[in-house]
Amino acid sequence: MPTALSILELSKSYETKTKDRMDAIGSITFDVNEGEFVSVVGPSGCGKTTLLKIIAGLLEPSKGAISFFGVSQNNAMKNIGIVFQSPLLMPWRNALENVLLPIELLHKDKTKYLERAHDLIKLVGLAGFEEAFPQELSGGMQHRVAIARALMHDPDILLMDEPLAALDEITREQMEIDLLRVWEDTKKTILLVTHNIAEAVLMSNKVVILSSRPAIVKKELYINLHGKRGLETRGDQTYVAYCQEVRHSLAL
Amino acid sequence: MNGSIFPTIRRYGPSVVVFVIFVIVWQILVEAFKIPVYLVPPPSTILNKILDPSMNWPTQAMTTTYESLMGFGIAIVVGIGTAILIVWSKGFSTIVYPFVITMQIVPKIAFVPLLFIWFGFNYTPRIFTVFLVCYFPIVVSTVAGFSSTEPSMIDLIRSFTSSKLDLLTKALLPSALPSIFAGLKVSVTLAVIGALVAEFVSSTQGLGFVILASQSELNAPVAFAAAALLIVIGFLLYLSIELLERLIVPWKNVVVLGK
Ligand SMILES: Nc1ncnc2c1ncn2[C@@H]1O[C@H](COP(=O)(O)OP(=O)(O)OP(=O)(O)O)[C@@H](O)[C@H]1O
Ligand SMILES: [Mg+2]
Repeated sequence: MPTALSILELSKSYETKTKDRMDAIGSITFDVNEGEFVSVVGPSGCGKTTLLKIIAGLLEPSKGAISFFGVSQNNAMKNIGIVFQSPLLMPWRNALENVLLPIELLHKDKTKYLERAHDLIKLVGLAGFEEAFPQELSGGMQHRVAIARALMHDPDILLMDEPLAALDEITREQMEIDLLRVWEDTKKTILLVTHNIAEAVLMSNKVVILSSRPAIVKKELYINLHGKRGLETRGDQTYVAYCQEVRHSLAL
Repeated sequence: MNGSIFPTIRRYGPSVVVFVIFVIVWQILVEAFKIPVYLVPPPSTILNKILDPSMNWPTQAMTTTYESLMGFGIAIVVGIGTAILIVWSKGFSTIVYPFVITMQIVPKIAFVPLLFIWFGFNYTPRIFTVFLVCYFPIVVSTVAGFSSTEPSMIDLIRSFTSSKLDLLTKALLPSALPSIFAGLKVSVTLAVIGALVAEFVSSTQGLGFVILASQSELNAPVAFAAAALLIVIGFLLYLSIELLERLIVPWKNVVVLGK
């Protein structure tokens, strides 16, 4: 499988108002293969959001390089979908219009994408809520809209920044299963940032474990759960063992 | 999505009742204490004045309304335009902002007589006066509204495009609308005052002119009638802005602590 995203010795320090510099990312190196679901776990404040912003081109790294399918970030056709920590829907747009936002921003013909927008809304389980405004949707439903929006322009890579962190346990577990289904249906390359160990292990082919700030990669753990992932997986012995291993690496 | 006029009526219903009571008490007190008409006329006399066709009220009121609306409209366009310039680039902002602030702190009213000398004794200086008093609140509220855009919303848009225009129209302007409307509400009430002040300085018609003329004749009922019409105009303008806000910004949070 080709490498979809490659991160090489990436580091980032912020200029702050009080101190002169603040090292957020020490040095991070890892690859994401095409079609893979990779999770990055790390303690709060270790630089996970910073990492995603750099990958998305919203922040300049201090050092290091990023390439998409072997092409360096600056020259690559940026084709990324992002799901942020909060759903970030526009309250003045209904669900359908929110999902269509990427198409407008990329100046494509909206009428050609209406069908795809409806399909995506169905895919995330919101059929019938196309006309609903964000204020009329629950937190979980808003996150579903945000996921559909991130897939709208058919990105090569989907970046997710703790998209489920704000949800309650019940909704969260349901969303994890749904997200897995979306992944299987779309075969997207997904990079998920989370501090939920169970979630990372359940969803991913590979878990990248980061240290606390300034973040370095402590370990890359490949997950092999043999067969379908779903609700029952949580009771699975290998699954529990993987979770233990991640927990252990984080604590080291 | 409450765009109809009925909530507005229901909201102001109690205030209208209070107002009617106030007018009745006023009438009774003026009669009971035999207060001379040239000091405080009773509401009945004022009402008679308002209904007097020889006063030409519609023309006078239209003049003042026209000046207020024109000045206000120009202030909206120029004010929001200035705010866009201010957020557009750091360079613009450092150049433009000092001028905007200076324009606000110079005693504008003191310059009104000059405006007539510069622009002639016509509508222009009066509309310009209205513009001057309306401009600043609109600039400030629009810039504040732009700054209230969620930073991650800006990130979201920037992850697709680097176009500033898209950023402005898709995120900044819609986010700023509630704040812009707050500024418009302040401005629209100032607009009427601006028109009045300009008419005091020089005019041959308009409610400000009527008030000034009534003063030289010690004609309090006329002055009160003109003031009453000014209040009505101000109120109507304010209500139109509120109605417009309900139509354009239906997602606005309304915070009320208690029932
Ligand atoms: N704009 C900024 N300027 C200065 N420092 C920043 C800035 N943004 C983040 N930081 C710092 O960089 C570090 C990493 O922040 P980041 O948001 O990437 O953490 P995170 O891993 O996403 O945390 P969480 O899991 O809580 O979301 C933090 O310690 C934070 O204080
Ligand atoms: Mg974060």
